[in-house]
Amino acid sequence: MKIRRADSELRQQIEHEANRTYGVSDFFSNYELIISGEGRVRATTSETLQLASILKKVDSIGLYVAKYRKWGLTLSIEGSHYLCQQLKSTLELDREDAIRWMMAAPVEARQKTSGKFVVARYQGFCMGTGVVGRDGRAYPQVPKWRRIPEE
Amino acid sequence: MEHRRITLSEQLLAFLRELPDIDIDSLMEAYSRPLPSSIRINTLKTSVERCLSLLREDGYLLEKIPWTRYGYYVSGGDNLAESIWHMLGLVYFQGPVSMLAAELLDVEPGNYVLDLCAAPGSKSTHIAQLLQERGVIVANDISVDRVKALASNMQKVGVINSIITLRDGRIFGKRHPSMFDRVLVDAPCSSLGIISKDWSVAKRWSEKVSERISRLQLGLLISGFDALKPGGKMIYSTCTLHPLENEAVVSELLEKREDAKLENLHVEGVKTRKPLEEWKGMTFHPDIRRCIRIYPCDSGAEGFFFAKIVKQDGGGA
Ligand SMILES: C[S@@+](CC[C@H](N)C(=O)[O-])C[C@H]1O[C@@H](n2cnc3c(N)ncnc32)[C@H](O)[C@@H]1O
Repeated sequence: MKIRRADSELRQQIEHEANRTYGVSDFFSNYELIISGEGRVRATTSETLQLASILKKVDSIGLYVAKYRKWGLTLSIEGSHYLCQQLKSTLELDREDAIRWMMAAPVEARQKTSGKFVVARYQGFCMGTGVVGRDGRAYPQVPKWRRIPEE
Repeated sequence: MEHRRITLSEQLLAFLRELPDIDIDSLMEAYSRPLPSSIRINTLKTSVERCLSLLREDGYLLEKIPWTRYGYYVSGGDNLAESIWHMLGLVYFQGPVSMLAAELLDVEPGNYVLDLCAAPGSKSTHIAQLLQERGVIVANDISVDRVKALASNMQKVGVINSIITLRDGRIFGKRHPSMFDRVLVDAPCSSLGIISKDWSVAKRWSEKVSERISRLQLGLLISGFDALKPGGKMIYSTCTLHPLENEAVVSELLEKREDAKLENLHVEGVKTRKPLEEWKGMTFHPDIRRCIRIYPCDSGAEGFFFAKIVKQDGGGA
């Protein structure tokens, strides 16, 4: 695997987007950011990256924390978990909606959301980004393998 | 608990009867029971207290597994595997005895740890939790499909200091000698300790299977040892009962690497058995008695073999 480290310019763009969208002021500043396919951003420690550079047949490094595309920055469940304390606003869910969220089913964005992205939270645990549609509902970006199966 | 009747081949029964110090009826009884449902609380995402309280609120009954720090038997409630807490990665399903591998490895935050046969990641995720984000866990496996599951599990648990590699573990040590503080070789095996999880294991087994796999295990163990720094520690584990895959492999390593020494293993809370000192005309290294066997009839769960090996400082590989 060719390791593509985010250069300072790309890093700045991502940090800016994280701040603008989520109010995050410290986007993994103590970590290295690696870019993999489809705009995936992975975070890891510099020690890990250093060791990875001398190993062969590396399949992946660190944690997938966000996806950065032209139309915006979405946070993975783990990315939002790390940044949870910094998020300026989250969509607080009750148990029923939290389960719907983890089934990747749309959830009514009851609180006012300022932009098109919102991070859901249940019992203090951040659960990744949802895209807010014109219908005022948030569409969670939960990957298939993380979803609670439908009955 | 549900009981089913299991039948074993004559060949397998004959082998089991030859094991000293085991009551076949109790073993058969253990094989006939499904493994208990057990989880490890993932302290990379939550604290033990908080997790227990969330699970109890949802109606789950939890009982501490005595020989682990983070393991619990779980019953009651809805299907926990399909719960929000599992999907968010607060808990990881793992067999109670399997949790001993990482527990016995003496992982310290800051260590460089290699898990040579890591997929699907039960032990790598456990090691990552013990590292507390300091140091590095290199999780390796040879199987493309199983590495996908490994990557998913490492993600779900939230491991940031991980490297996943996809290669034959037998060449790791040659390519990267003396690099790791800790190495785990949780080797592929004939799985005779987990027949209750998968009865087809019993059907597929023959003496030849154990003979063949023991050569692969030795290659992996030597490679893992070579990847260890002087002063480093290694655990060799299998979920099988056959001496060719356990005592014989470890004994051979001690013959081939003079800086390899066995440390005594001691586990509180579950009965452990002495390893075999000889088998069918083979006499194992005298230090082999430092290893342990755990039988399904003693743990009420899986059967395992564990050896703890240290690389002496100043020796040459
Ligand atoms: C007992 S399982 C490991 C279970 C894992 N440690 C866990 O706790 O989730 C054995 C693993 O060894 C892998 N394996 C088999 N041959 C190998 C080799 N030559 N090099 C590396 N891994 C190998 C298999 O693909 C399998 O995933």
